[in-house]
Amino acid sequence: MERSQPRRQVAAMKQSLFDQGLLDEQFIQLEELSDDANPNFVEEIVTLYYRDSSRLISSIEQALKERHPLDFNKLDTLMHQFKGSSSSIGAKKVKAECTLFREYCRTGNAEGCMKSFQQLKKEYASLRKKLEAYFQLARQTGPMDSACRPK
Amino acid sequence: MGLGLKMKIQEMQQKHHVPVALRMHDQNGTQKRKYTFIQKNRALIPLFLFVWILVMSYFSWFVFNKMDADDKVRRKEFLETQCDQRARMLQDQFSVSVNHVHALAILVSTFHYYRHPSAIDQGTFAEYTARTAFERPLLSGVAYAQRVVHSERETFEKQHGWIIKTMEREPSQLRDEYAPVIFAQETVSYLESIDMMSGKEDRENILRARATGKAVLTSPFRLLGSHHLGVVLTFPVYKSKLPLNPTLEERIKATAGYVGGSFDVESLVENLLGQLAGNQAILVNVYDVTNSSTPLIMYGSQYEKGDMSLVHESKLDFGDPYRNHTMICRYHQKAPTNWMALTTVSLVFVILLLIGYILYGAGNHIVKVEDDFQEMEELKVRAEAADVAKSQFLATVSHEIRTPMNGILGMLGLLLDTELTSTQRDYAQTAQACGKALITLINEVLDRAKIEAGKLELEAVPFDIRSILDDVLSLFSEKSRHKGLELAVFVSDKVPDIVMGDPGRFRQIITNLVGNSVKFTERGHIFVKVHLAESTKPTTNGTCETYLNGVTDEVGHISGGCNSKTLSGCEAADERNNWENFKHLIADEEFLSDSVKKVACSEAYDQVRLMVCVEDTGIGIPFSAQDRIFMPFVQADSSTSRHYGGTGIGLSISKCLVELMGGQINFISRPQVGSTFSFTANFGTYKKNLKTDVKKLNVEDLPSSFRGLRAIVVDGKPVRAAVTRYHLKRLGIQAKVANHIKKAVSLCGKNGSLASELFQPDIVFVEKDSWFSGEDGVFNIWQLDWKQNGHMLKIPQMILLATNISNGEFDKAKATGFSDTVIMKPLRSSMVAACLQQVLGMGKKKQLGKDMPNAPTFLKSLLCGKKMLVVDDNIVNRRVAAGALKKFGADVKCAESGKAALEMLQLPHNFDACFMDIQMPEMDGFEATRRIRMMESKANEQEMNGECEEGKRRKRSEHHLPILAMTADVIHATYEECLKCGMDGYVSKPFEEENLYQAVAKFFNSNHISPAS
Repeated sequence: MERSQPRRQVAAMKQSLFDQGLLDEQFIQLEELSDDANPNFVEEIVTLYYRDSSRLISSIEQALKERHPLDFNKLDTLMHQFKGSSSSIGAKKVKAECTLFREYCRTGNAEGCMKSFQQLKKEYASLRKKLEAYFQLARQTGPMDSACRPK
Repeated sequence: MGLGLKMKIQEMQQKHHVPVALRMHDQNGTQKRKYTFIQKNRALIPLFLFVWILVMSYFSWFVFNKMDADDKVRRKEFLETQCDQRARMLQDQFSVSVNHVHALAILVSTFHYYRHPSAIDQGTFAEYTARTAFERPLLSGVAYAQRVVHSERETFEKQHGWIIKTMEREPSQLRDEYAPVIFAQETVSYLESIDMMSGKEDRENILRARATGKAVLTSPFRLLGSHHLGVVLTFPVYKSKLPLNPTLEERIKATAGYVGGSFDVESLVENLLGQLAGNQAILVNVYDVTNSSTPLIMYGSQYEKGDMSLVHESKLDFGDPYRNHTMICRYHQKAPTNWMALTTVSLVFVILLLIGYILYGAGNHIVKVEDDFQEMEELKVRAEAADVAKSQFLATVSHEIRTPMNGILGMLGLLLDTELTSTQRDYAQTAQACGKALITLINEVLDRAKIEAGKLELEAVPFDIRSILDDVLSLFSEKSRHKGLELAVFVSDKVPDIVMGDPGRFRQIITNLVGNSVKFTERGHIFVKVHLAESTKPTTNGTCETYLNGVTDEVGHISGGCNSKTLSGCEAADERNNWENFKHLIADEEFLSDSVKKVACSEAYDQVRLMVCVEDTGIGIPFSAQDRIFMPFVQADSSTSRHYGGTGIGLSISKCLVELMGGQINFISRPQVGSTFSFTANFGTYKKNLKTDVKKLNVEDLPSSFRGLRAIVVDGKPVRAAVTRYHLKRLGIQAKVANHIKKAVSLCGKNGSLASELFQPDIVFVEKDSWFSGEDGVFNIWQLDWKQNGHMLKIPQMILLATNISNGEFDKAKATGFSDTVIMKPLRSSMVAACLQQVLGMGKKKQLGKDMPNAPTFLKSLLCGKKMLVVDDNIVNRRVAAGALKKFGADVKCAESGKAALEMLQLPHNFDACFMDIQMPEMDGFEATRRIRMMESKANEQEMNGECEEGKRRKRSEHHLPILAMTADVIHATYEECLKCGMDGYVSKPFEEENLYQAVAKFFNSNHISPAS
């Protein structure tokens, strides 16, 4: 019974992430994928995502700094990768920004690209913060959960 | 005559009427734009009138003449007879007088000469003649003159004492002979002593009389006394008897004297005519025509008077052969105009004239009417053409609109699949919703136009009515649940499983009616009931009964606040669906075992007539609007369209469709109570020997694993319970109904009673209403009962039926002992089956493997133990995909680029499938696949060559690794591209189970056994 309190907190937190539109159902599917064999699958994936995407973001930043002229093709390809990863973890808002960015790329709107990239980074960072908090909370309840199960 | 005329008229009328009638008949027959006889000859109509008048005038003239001629003949005949009659009478009277004079002569000779002394003197004679004067009414007087020869004159004069005088009363001169009057009637006493031979006329007369011995007449002359015209009759008197044929000499010698009398012809004739009728009309003249050249008039005026045109002459014989007399008669006045004939003829003429005019008028009228008719006909044809053109135009236009609309909708769909901001998405979704509404409307208009243009044709394919109804219900389940409505369907067992008809159109009608009901109902229920149209007959009697005594009953129910006769308990407009009648229907069905009946039904008839009722407890239709409810684009009230939306075309289309199906649609509605729409439709029966492609039937495969189970349905409302039972029956579950939980308990038996004889339920379905109305305690007791009495083999599963349920209620139910699954209404057989499977946990894999493609268990069975390669440069994606596949039991290897994948897939390898990302740096998915395929085909060729050694071992298949593309944007073009470069399919990138299943099942299903072998 004492476990149910933090559990509820985790659920509420997750719900708030959905309510804010940060995440979509893909995230739930990911959670469903985690099972006995791989209990921290989601966290693992998310960590992987941040590790991988920070590389991508710095590449994009680099590309944007090179300024004259902007290589929109390169930007688009990078952003496609980034978007693919984002959609895999169900980062809804980030994904939407990616789409917007690619749209600007396609029309060759450098100003737009810059703006949306800033926005993207903001969303990306805030999601990271929130997810970290969420996983932290989940871990606190999680080990007990997994401890209950016979290994 | 009159008859003849009439017949003639009739004949003429017929001549003219018959063709007219024929014409009109013809026209009715042909109906074509052909000028009729009368129309063609319209110019002849006045001419006809003119000719008619001419002919009729001539005819009338002819008739008149004929009548007049008849009249004239009659007049002539009349004159003749009258004339002859007069002549004969005159003649008779005359001869009577003559005879009398003759008798007088004989008297004189007898008594004057043969007697001595003479017995007659003047006195005797005068007296005798006076007294016998009545015998001679025509004679003014008679006298006897003695023959005196000259030698005897003196003695004679002496003897009588007077001398012989002439007519001029002078003493007679010397002559050979004298004939002095010796006896005279008193009327002519002035004649005494006058010598009759002194008058020329008399002398001749005397001489002739003496010579012939017969009566002779003088020619007419003015008589002495009166100044009338007259004749003198003279008879000879012989003193001795004459020999038989006396000579002239002998006669003269024997002559003693002469008897004479004067006839006053004028008064005579006048007298005579006075005795006869009609003497005024006829004018009579008598002539002495002895000298034929100069007829002497004896009677009548000298001057020609009277009607000279018509004269009749009659001969008169007065006994004197020497003299000839004639009587000439004529009419006093000219023949009068024949008024009768004239009137008759003019009347007839007028009648004929009128008839002619009537015919003329009729002809004109016919022409006018026919002209009008033709004009109307033309207008009608034009209007019809316009209507057809309108409908066709509508059909064409709607079709033309539909094509681009589909494009718009498709593109909107695609747009929605892309990444959009929430505002954009909102706009796009609104646009799509509007587009969908528009295309629904267009489809409806198109339907209507098609029906009107006669283009809509119904299919005749076998289909399952029950599953269609379930489908329709599931369409509306969300809405009805939201509104808290009971939505239920019931199909009578008599209705065959599969009928021939147009499922799409049937569904359209039902959808429309149910949609309307859902739209207009805020509380209560919507109930769809299907049964054979024939089976309403027994129930209609029931209706009457219940209706009759239902009036007071109803009041009772309402006042009681609860009417349990209908599905939800709300009052419905049509009494027919209430429990009283429903019971009959069910009872009827239970009478025979259903299998027998279905066979009987489907075998016996080629057609079944179904009656479908859709009952709701909505706002109803105002009475004022009820008669125009089926008109297109008319809603009951214009305010409803504002309030509820819709175009109002649905019902009119439904009506058309129902009529196309050979049925009728009608409704009963009471405002604020509800409406019941019912329609009949004809469907063909499905003959099993007719081998139709069974796959084409949209027959729902209901799992058969529930057959033989037994259940109790606890529901206070019998209709609703019957619906539940109907669904359970379809699943093969035998169900009993208990209207209360206590009853259910008693059905199962109390402790101590023998279990074998009792109904042992496997499942208990409890309606939410019944559960909440019943006390919980009962349940607990019951459950305790069960647990205590170990004789029950297993505790029945308790399942709650509900329209909507709150979390609190759900928890409470669970606590009471209900299973986790609540069956949400509206009930559908497939859904009930799914829920039961979940609850009973039986045969899930077997049953649902095929039916539920998204079942993860099936995926698991497909992928378990398979070796997969996931190729993606994006590590996150790679991990996710691998994780997903691993979850289904697959053995997953990853490759981070196309090149790496190629290396790993060097033959021989043991991968069963490969998931390939398309967009990768260096070598993208397409390229990688192409290379893999190339490699494979090389290996295959080699194997072909070296088949002798190796062929037998690896005969089964040549190398072909299933490669599935992973892509985020699932557009058609990409798919084509995938196939072109040799991929087997694609899956959307964040894996969706259903999508994955579909893709994987395609090639794994067939090779299912291969890994095992």
